[in-house]
Amino acid sequence: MTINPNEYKFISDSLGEASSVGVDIANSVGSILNTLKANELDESNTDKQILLGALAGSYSFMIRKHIRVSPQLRDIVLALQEHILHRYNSVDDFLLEKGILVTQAFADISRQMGYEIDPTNIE
Amino acid sequence: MTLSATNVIVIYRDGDSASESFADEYIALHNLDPDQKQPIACSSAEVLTNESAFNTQVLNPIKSAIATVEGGGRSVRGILLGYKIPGGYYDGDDIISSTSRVSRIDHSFNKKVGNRLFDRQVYKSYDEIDAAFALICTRIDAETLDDATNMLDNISVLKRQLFASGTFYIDPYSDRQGPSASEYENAIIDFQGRLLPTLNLETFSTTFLDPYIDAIIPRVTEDSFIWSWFTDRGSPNFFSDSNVTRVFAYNADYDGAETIRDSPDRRWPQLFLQNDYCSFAGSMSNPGNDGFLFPAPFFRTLLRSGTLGEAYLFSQPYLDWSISVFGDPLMKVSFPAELVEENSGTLLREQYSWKIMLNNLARAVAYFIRKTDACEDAVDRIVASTNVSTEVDLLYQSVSYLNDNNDSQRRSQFQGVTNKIMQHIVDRSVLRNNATPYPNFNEFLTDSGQKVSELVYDVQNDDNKVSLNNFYPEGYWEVERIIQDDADALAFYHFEIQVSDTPDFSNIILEKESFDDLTGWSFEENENVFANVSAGGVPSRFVGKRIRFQASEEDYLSRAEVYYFRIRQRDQLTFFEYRSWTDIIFT
Repeated sequence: MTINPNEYKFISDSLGEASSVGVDIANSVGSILNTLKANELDESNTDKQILLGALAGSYSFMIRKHIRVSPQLRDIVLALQEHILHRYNSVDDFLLEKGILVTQAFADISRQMGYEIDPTNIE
Repeated sequence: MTLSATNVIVIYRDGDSASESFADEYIALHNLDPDQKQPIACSSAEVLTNESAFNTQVLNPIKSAIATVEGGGRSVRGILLGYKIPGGYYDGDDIISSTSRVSRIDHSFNKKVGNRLFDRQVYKSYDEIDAAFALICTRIDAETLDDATNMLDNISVLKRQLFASGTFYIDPYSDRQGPSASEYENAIIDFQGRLLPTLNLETFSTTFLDPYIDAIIPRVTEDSFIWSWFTDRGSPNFFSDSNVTRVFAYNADYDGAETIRDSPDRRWPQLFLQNDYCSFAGSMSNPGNDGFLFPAPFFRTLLRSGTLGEAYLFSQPYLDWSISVFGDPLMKVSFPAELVEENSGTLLREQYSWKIMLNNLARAVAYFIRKTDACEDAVDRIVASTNVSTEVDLLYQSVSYLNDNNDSQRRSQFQGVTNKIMQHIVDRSVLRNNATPYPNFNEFLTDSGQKVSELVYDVQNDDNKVSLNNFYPEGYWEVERIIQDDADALAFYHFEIQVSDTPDFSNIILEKESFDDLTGWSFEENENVFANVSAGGVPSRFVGKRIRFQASEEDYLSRAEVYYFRIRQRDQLTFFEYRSWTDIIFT
């Protein structure tokens, strides 16, 4: 039995939201780094250099963790779309039949997993 | 195009050999081209009888001269009114100064018009946009040609000097009474406290004696600058012999510059001229206490390597008015030692940068919480599903995704960087406060009056205890945006902010207008120092500074929720365009 369309919509929206918020997490950490760079303290100051190093490391980590698709996100998106493909020829067929529009954020992750979604099925 | 030797002209009196001789000396001083000397047929009277006479003899001929020069391919941005050119005209009981009126030569006369270039809080050199509002105009005149050319000789000496090195004499106190007198006194005191120390000059200041006693500078010696007000007549004995170049002097009074040619009168501008000052200013008739030249924009301009002409234009609150400014518009002044600017240009003050950093850290944590919530929502929906296959196919993966983004992950991902930021702030705060020379993080917050989000505290080590008073209240929010030059004119701005939970603002959940209610509204009066917005609004000279709105408790929003904000300015007549952005509540 296929997933309830309302449940699919809710879950895909939640995954899209989690993914797009990840970009905001990394961007906010990047802003801390940029603010420190832009302040009046000379870049040669040891205190500033230590913190710049720590922030650069944290920023790289946040990009890896929250902007790139993590294995855990890949697994849940894969499971969701494969769940549909057990019963439908394509994700688009399911979306069209049930009248579901997914968010652009979820469509972007789905495309990265190899499940392209037609623009007519995107909000 | 800023003011330079290529776009200045000197005006002389047609058929007057002495006047032309002065113009020739000015041309030689800056090695200008012959077309930069232009004659006008005018009376030799110092003050003309009325506006019509002024237009006929001075304004219209100068317009023609500008047209001639610009027809030859040269733009005109600065005008020096030379020896024996009329200094103004009578308008009822007032005298309208030539320098003030000619600077608005492209506009019809608008008596005491507000100067939109006055005291801009974010410094900008004079440019094409400014020129459309007002040209730069100064004057050099005297009783005799020798006195006028002597002024050029002094300017020539200053040009060759590395910097001005004499004492700055300042007198903030007068016997004038009333709110406008207090405002002018405060403006001088504010300049004395903030900007004057950055000139790196020796200073002498009068002290406050009594509101009804005009404190005076007794005598000047080795003086390069004088800024004083009131006692409106002086004495030649006021000036001792000096070995330093006398650069600029101003005494704010009501009639000092009514004449510069009648030397026995002991008016200050005449005394400054006779005692070798390179530049000075004065009032031809009463400008009002709000109409004097102001010191902060004047010296801010010179400090930024602006010309005397720019400094004059930026420090006069009104044009088409009675202040007459004397000197070479191209004159520049350097100050001793390394320039320490009033503010650090585009560099952020360190302590202010910490506030932004801590807020962005809280913002990142708030977004993480939002991500956790989204993951939990997905898991909860799968668990609640009545469809067994949905739960079987998706539950394990969704829980795994949640576990990768849960509270424990939030702490582990932010703890290290949070501790590093706090340690940096503590290290950099050492010896900044006598009471707590080695503050911990909580003491830093208390000393600086800064607050931090509880979300930041939640992800750090327990070493950094923070008292409840130093947390932002949950749901508190504030907005800071740059004040825009929307009116492109002198204006007094009010502000309107809207908050919505929908991107298209179809559902407005909060609306605040400073015009209706000033609660929570402030603007950046000085660098990182905010003052309450008054009922009259924020003057356009604060364009480039920040407007701030701080929410009251009844307007607090939900933590870790995203909202849509937009703000617009309004002046007396117009509502301008909204500017919108999205933000998360991180407190």
